[in-house]
Amino acid sequence: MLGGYWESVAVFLGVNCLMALSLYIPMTAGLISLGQGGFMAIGAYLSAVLTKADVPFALALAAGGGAAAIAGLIVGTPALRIRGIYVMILTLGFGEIVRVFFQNFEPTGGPSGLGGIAPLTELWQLVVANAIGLLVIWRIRAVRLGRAMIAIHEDNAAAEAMGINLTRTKLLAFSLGAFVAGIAGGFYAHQALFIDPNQFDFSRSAIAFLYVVLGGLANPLGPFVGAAIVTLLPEMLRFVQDWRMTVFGALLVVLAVWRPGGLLPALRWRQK
Amino acid sequence: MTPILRVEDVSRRFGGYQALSHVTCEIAAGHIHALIGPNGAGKSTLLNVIGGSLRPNDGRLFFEENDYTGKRPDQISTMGIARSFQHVRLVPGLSVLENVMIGCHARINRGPFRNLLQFLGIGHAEASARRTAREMLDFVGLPVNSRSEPDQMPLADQRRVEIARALASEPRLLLLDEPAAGLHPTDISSFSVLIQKIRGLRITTLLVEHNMRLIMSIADTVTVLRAGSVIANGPPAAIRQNAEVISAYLGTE
Repeated sequence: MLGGYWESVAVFLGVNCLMALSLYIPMTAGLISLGQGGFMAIGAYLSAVLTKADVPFALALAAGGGAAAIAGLIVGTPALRIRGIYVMILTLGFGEIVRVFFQNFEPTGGPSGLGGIAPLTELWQLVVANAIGLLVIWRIRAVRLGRAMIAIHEDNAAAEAMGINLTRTKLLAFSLGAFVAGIAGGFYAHQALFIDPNQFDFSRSAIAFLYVVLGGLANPLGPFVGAAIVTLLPEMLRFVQDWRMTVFGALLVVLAVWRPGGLLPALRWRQK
Repeated sequence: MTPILRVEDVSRRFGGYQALSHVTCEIAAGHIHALIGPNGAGKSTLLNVIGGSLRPNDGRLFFEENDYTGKRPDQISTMGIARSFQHVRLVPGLSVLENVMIGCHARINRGPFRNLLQFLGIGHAEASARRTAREMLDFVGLPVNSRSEPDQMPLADQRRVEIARALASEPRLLLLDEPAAGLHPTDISSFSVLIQKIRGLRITTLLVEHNMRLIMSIADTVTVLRAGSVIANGPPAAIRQNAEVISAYLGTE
């Protein structure tokens, strides 16, 4: 269908879209995580170990996502009691802890990584996963959980006075995001076929943040568009050769100045 | 008459500043109860303590004879106390209707299973919340078809939306923090009609307000605060005659 090179670009784009989604969900509730790379690592390592033990791929993916979601609950519980910038610092610390853990954890190869992972990821699986993800954030926006998340994002104290349980709603959003990051990690591992801790370093988390900011929070298609731009633009800019990343950076600055709220316009929701 | 709310010996400090000292008062069920006092008297602090967004350093709070001191604002809201804010705090990203639906949050979809059904689009709680929200918007006198965003509305209408949102939680006690502040006189008189209409729903209202004419015309009981202490309590006619209240307002000693 696609050439080998573009097919692999498309698969990584799918993974990046899931990573964007994993951050979009908590960010609609006002929680900025800089540790999504850590959740991705948990999903990647666990699912890789499981498929090596002949567990079916779908089950291994779900287990990786589940483990990441549990990690999200554990990190989230203290993190969500504190606010704003401290959530960012705490999640940043968490991402580093996960990386250093796998750095020192010999059963998964430590710093030399884990190889020989079966090539189980296929493009259609990522298309399906992203379609489900889009459907989920679309539906969440239409029910009370979504309203609560937006209310929390705008004004914690007012939301709480309206009867919204802050801790429960934030934890739900945070661990749902962690679950998606864990799934993304599973797909990534079975495409890259070799994983090591440094693939899940801070830049992995930071770039997920870039996807969401670039696409904009006000539109559920935002994370997908953001991920697509950040993933595809450097590929398309190969013709400028050595200046590729410089031009890419300059374009991001232009976008940030031109549309500070994100690329996509806020969606008008139909509310009968 | 039995009190719906009892504030017992409540004190609140901010650092070295004593915002409330040993405040005791009762609010009779079904009344419009006004809380007045000069700037800095502690009116908003008291309202925030009752609503749970501030905790008292000392003292106890009783709602329908149940001690709820130290509960979280969301628990207090679920218990039956709703509020509006001095500065309108609606959610700009949501439509007016959705803002009012937030008021229904705690009442709809309890339990994960029902939430899941609703998420899959086969529950009816969302539809009933939408119906309640429309009724409340209608009740406060706003067009039912309110798809617009709240920040495009005039201040008086935003205040109405806040009251509709508070009413959507089906409270038994409504806390209103200066609902008439900054409004045009014609809007103020329509707010006084609205507040009396709310009494008709058998909802008790505790009102912080500066507009004396409004208070004297609609309040059943008035509590006067000065420098964090209650200096008078009684029907508006008696409050108007009270020498201590007059001196608090006019500064004559």
